[in-house]
Amino acid sequence: MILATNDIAELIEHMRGLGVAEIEIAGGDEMLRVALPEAVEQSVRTASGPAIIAAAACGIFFLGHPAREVTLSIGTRLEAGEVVGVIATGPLLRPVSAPAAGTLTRVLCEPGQRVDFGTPLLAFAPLDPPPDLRKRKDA
Amino acid sequence: MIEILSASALATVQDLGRTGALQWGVGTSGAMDPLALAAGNLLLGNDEGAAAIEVPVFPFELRFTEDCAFALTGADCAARLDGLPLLPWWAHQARAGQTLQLGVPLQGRWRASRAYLCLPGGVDVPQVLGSRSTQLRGAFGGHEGRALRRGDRLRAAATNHKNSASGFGLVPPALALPLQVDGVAAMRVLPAAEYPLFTPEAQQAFWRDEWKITSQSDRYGYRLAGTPLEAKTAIEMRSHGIVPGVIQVPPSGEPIIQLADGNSAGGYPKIGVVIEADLWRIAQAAPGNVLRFVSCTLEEAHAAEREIVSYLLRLRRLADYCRFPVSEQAA
Repeated sequence: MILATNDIAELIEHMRGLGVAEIEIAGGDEMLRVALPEAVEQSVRTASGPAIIAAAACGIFFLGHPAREVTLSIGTRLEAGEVVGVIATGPLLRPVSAPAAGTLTRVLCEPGQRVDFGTPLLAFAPLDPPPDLRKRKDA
Repeated sequence: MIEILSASALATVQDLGRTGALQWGVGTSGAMDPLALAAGNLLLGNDEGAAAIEVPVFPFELRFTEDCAFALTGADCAARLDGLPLLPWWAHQARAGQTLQLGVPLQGRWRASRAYLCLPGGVDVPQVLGSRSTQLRGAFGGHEGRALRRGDRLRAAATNHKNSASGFGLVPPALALPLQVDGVAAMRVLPAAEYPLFTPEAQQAFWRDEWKITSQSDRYGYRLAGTPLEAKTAIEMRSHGIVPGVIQVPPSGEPIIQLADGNSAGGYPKIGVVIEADLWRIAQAAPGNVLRFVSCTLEEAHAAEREIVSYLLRLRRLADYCRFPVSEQAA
């Protein structure tokens, strides 16, 4: 391989940072082409069943923080915006956070694994806001 | 602006040190963990050497009196902002009135002992002899030449920092650049001038033994406990210039590592010197823990220095992308 997989993740980071959509690297008999998808925001799919938290970056997924013991488990109550994990691209860490309050129902991606834009990471059951809060929101 | 709420916690303002003044007997001072200070500054888009607050005693509390971005590096103190947990080695955003609490460092995957709080543009204190570091011995530099205490108010040099985006962090260097021997934190050491004057047993013990960091260890230096190191014959020397990292062996035979606030001169024989690239590892090793010395050549010391430089360069590039999203660059 021209580049190790770790380096490709970092290369993608450089491309995103510099606004490069596509790049080709040739060396010896090998050629590597990297094309970025359209901007992928950390997405929540709520169409059916539990909500999914998907990766918004390319790198290694960690539950919690790589320097800390993991304290999250199935059933952990999550606050809206709470950081539940990180994606490491080289030395850089980006947060994976809960888009709404809820309960962690499944870990869909083995921590320590490489993830791509849009890889489903965690499933959680959103907490329905209490009726009085819902009313206030509508108002 | 921030206001210190802790009584007196030996926290000081430090940058990368006051170099070039040893000739006047002025020690370097500066962050004990220069890597944590530099990394925290890079998270905010500051110069690597911008002044920050070094916190060695916990808990430590302060209040933000204005909206302010900040970065926390060094020991993971399970920090909380108005009670909400914060990630370590991370850029955060505080609102006016919020209180930041640093607790006792976590005993997680990496036990460290000093935390760094970086502010946009650095902590705004005057430069003295080319540095903003607190020189405790001479009582100058930093904030009024002393450790911070309750009621002190400090300002960030860049209050309205457009470019600091919070919400991202870094892999701590202890995980990115680990160095252990038999599960014990290790530091690379160059043999120093008087190394050949120690007995072969002492030389072997120096590299082989675990050295316990005694409670007489602080910014001035670390006093280690272990099997005393004996010289072949008594060594008497005139006082001569020394630098942070020098490992002296006083008559007791138990080594002393001179550190950031150490003397600029000393007369004890020197068995070795911890390479500059590993001084941060000592800084984060807490009293009560043990450490090991690993022999290293000058070439290896230079290579270690280059490794640090390229680690920081990589951090700067990647952190800059997070602060300058493409859309804003175009705007």
